[in-house]
This record gives sequence, C-alpha cells and structure tokens, in this order.
Amino acid sequence: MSVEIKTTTVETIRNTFSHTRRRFGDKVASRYQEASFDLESATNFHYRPLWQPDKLLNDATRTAVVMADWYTVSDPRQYYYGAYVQARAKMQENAEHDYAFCEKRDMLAGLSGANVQLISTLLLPLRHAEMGANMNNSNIAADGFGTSVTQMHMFQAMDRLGIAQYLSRIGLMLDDGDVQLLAQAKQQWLNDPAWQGMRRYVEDTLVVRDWFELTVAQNLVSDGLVYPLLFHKLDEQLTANGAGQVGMLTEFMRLWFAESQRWVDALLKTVVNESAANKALVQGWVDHWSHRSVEALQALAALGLDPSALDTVCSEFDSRLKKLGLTGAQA
Amino acid sequence: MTSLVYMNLQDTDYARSIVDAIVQDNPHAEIQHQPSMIRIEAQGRLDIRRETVEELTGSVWDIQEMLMYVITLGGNVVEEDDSFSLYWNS
Repeated sequence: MSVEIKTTTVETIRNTFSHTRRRFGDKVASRYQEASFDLESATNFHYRPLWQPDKLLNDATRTAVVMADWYTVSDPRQYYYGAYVQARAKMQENAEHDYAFCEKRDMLAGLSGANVQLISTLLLPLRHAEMGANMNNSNIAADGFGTSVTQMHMFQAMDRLGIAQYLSRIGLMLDDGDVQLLAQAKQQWLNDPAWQGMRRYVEDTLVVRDWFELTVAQNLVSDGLVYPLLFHKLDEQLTANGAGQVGMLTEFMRLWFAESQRWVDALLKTVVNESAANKALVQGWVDHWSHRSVEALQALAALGLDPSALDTVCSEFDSRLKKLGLTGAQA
Repeated sequence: MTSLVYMNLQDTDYARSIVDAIVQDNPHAEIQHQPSMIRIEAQGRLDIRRETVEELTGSVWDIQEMLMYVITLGGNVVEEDDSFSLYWNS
C-alpha cells in the first residue's frame, strides 16, 4: 500500500468585501483599507435625529467644507484600531520605562526652584487644555463624516487623555506624590491672568459647531503652536538650565506631536486642494484662530520663556502652513 | 545559467506590503500565491528596501522584523539597515 501526499489549493472566491473592491479594485486589501473606507452608513436612515432634525444621522453637511468624497482623506500612518493600539502600546511602554526610571532615581528631587516654577506654571495647567482637546476631538469624531476621517480624530482624542495623565504624573512626581501642585495648577488655569487667554481659546472651541473649523482650530492651529512652544522651546530652556532629565518625561509628547502632524497635514492638504472654496474657508479659519492662539501664547511666554521663542515657533508654523498651500500666522 | 533566488513568506497582512514593495523594486520577480504562503522568485538577485516598505505602510519598519515571517529563503544574504538582498555568485 502506498500513501500519496499532495497539496490541494483552494482558490479564494472573493478577495475582499464588496465595498472595498468597488473602491480599490478586486485584489487582496490591507487591513487599513478594510477597516477605514466606506464603512459609515450613508443612506436609508429611517429617522432624522431628534436633536438636529434638519440633518441625517450621518450627514456630510455638518461642516461648510464640501468634499465630493470624504474618503479621499486617508491616514499616512494607516492607523486602524489594531495598528493604532499596537503603536501606542509600544510608545507607552517606553514612556512608562522613563517614568519608572525617574521615580526610582528620584531625578526630580534636585531641580532648582526656578525650574520647578517653570514646570508648574507652564506645563501643569496645560493638562486642562489637553482635556479640552480630548473633548473637541471626540466632538469631531461624532459630527464628522467618513470613517477614515473620524477614526483619526477618535485616536487623537484618546491620545490627549493619555497626555493629560502624563502631565498629571509629572505634577505628582514633583510634589512627592502629593496633589498640592496640581491643585495650584488648577487655580492658575481658573484665575491666573496669563492662562486666561488659553482657557478662553479652549472654552470657545468647545462650542464651535462646524467640525472642520474645530479640527483646524484644535489640531492644526492650537497644537501647531502650543506643542513647539511648551514641549520644544520650554524643554530646550530647561535643558539649558540644567534640568534635562525633565525631557525624559515629556518625550512622549514630542514623539506624539511629530507623528500626529503627519495626519493633520495630510487631511488639510486633501481638503484645501479639493476646491478654491474649501481653501478660502480653511484660510479664514486659520487666520481667525491663529491670531487668537498667538495672543493667548504671548501671555504664557511672558511667564518665563525666552522672548524670541514664540517668534521662532510662529515662523516655523508659517512655513508648515505654506507647505499646505495656506498662509501663516502673524506674531 | 543563472539560478533563482527565492524567499517564502507567510501570507499575512504584514507580508503583503513587503511583497508589494518587492514587486515595485524588482520588476523581474515572480510572485506565487500558495496556500497561506507567498513565494517570491527572481533571476539572479532580489532586493528588499526599507524605504519602499515604509512608504507603503506609512510607518517605521525594522527590516529584521521580516525574519519572523520568513519561512525559507535561498541565495547569499546581504543584510543592511536599509536593505536585504539575496543573490547567487555566478
């Protein structure tokens, strides 16, 4: 008796979902494509939402920006839930390692009074602004249209929660586990005249109804100015003052900002290049919000940053806007 | 006569972008889809470039990660930070 071993090949009948095939052609699709495009229901709604009867439940007209197809926006990082969670888990592992190391070696104990002052007046109150950024991005994820657009904002929202938590931990560590510094930071957020411009900016954006205006105000303009100023310039200054170890605790924010800029730029580029009308709208929003953001940051920069820091940040932001086909903020 | 260099990868979402990059960089390569495995054969030489894969996936790629998905390969290997090459001395 002889046994014959042979391989049988089973041909797949369908390479991917029909909606993915219609967009990308009949071939094996990536997970990102399958998990991001043409997923949000767009037709056959039974009821209009009670809270906004003039729109459909998922409606592309909740912003003044008009796109023939919102799914032309794609994420250069190709994040869908799985890829996003893996990438963040990796980043978080590194950050946790740095925090643990700082705690173990008690590295914040030797900071000079001036440096502690800089961190507690400029970084700690920012956690309230991060909470605002979390709410704004959740809002966009709710109102926006197209899964490829809304998922990026939802990821962004979760990132901001994480960053707010890291800022809180810096406060706890500085205070030896006590919450006095954080309580003081909240009072600054609520009462310090220097922080009121920033607080007003955040609170005013919370009620912006046009979700694309909101993403411009939050993710392009505010983040585009605040992060370079408070996580790059302030860090350079702390390092120059002999407090380089603080950089270990804010490295997550810098890495995150470099990464998140990529999708914000891709989103803006796609929308601005779609039509002259879109470009004019976005430019108007950029002008309005960057003016306000720079005003708010001037007061903050006066709390102890180098006088030239904000100007440098503004001119860098200008050149970033130019690459997107927009014109920049004026200091 | 030149021999074929070859590499077999597990057929996963991860490997597919590597295969796409190989096709881009090596027009002479021949791709065979087998059950749960992708076989790539090429006359003489096969190059996998980090940059091309990174462009396709939009994320940073450590070329050595690929080895977790390699089933077998044939050819002399030159492994750099930016590229992975298979070739025969002829």
